[in-house]
Amino acid sequence: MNEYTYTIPTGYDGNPRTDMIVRSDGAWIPTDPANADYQAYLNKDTLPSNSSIPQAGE
Amino acid sequence: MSVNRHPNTQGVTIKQWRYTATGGETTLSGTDGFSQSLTYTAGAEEVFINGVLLVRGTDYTATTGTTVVLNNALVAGDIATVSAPSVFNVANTVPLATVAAKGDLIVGNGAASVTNLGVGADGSTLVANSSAGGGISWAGPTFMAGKNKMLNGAMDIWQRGTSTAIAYGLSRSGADRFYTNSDSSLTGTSSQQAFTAGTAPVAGYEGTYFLRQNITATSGGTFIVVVGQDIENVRTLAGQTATLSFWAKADASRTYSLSAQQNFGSGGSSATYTSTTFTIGTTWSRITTTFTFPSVAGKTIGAGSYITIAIVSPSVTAQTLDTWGFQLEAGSVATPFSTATGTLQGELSACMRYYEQSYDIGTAIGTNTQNGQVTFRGLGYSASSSGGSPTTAIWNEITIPYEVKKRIPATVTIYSSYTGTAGKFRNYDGSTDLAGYSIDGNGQQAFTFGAGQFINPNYYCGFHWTASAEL
Repeated sequence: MNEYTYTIPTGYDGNPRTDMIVRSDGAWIPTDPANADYQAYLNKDTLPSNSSIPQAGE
Repeated sequence: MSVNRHPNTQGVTIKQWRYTATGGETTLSGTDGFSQSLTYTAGAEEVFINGVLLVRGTDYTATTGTTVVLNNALVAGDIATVSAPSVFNVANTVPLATVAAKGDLIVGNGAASVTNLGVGADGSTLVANSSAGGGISWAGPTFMAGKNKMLNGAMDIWQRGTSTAIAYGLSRSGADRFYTNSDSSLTGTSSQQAFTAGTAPVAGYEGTYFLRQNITATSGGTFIVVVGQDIENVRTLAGQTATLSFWAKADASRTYSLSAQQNFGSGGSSATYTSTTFTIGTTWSRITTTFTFPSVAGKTIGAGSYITIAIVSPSVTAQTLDTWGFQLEAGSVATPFSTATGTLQGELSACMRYYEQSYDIGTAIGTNTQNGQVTFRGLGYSASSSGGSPTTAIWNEITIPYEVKKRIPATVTIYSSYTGTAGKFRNYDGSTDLAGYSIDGNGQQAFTFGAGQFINPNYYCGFHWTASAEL
């Protein structure tokens, strides 16, 4: 299971950036609601689950 | 001459043969003055002399179909006329009631048997359909260009490599746009398999590769999406009947299910789920399943909406599933397979809207290769304005444009082109990997890599990158 940690990079002005986060595997993720990796960051405390997928016979 | 007596209702043709006598004739035959040959069906003919109808058997004999023998010889100037209707067999007509509405078609449903085929939806097309009673049915509306909503359905594009690991959560396959997803801790491999030439499952369409999802172990969990693909925009096929078709074989016959989902994006309405089931056997066969996506009327659609096509295992178990030729199209009939774009370059470009990398196609991420890497030279320190030792590294910024504009600003990962380590670039002359860089100007068209760490002047550096704008 991939359990990532995230950090907020510092910008040129020395302040935390608001446009990007950095995942522990080195990925730079835009803080865009349409970005799936950013959504994963937002939902990082939610157990991965897709149990609403209908199973055969349901 | 010919006279159609009731052209709008009966369709019976009356042939009229006319002859002017020279005197003494008792036999009528041959061609008249209007190039009409005397032919008739015995018993159906009518013979007139100067407009007076003769009595069959009394005034003449007509049995041959081509001659009429008169009992009394004609007088010069007499006008002999023979009227002969064409054969009209009521038993072989189709009742008008067979059709009931505008656009209905009469189609054969067996030997000497017909049935009604109601008119199709606007824009639909007639297709041969052996499972339909009349042998044909309406399909669509279908559009040859772009009818297939799934990308890389022929499994031709493998940007991330030919073999990737399957694990817990979402595991992207080397075959672009496809993935495995599970809440079980899976062990396995998603790999490219080559068809032996001439053995691809579709006659006339020689597939090159198929996708093998080989799950060797599971641990816990409740579901496995063995093969899935997300398709951009929840409006896709909304409110329409859709048909998914693909070729598949498994290590054992199982009843899989299709979970067709509508995901309304960030801040959007709750997802919808539609399910159908089908059996995948141990030899290649085309799986076809038809379902309806709900309408999106009244829904809130947020950023990043999509629909999902997910092939769900009947149980959380180790298995091998081979698939090829995915096609999702409007309508209730699986039409012949074609890729979404029709060309290899088209498929590659379409896939690159969601993912692109500097590695060659098929080269696994993290491979030690300099092919396609981005290179630059170290710039050292900036000069000190105070005249002392310079202490500020000069930023070395490189803007990297994409081949294809991305769906959204992408997640960018940098890899050492030597060790393959993520989050590092390679200082070749310094024989080390460095992490002092920033990603800036990250848009749909390009991103800028900025190395802000001290690098000796003119030291040779390089890195690979991946950019993911996947759904």
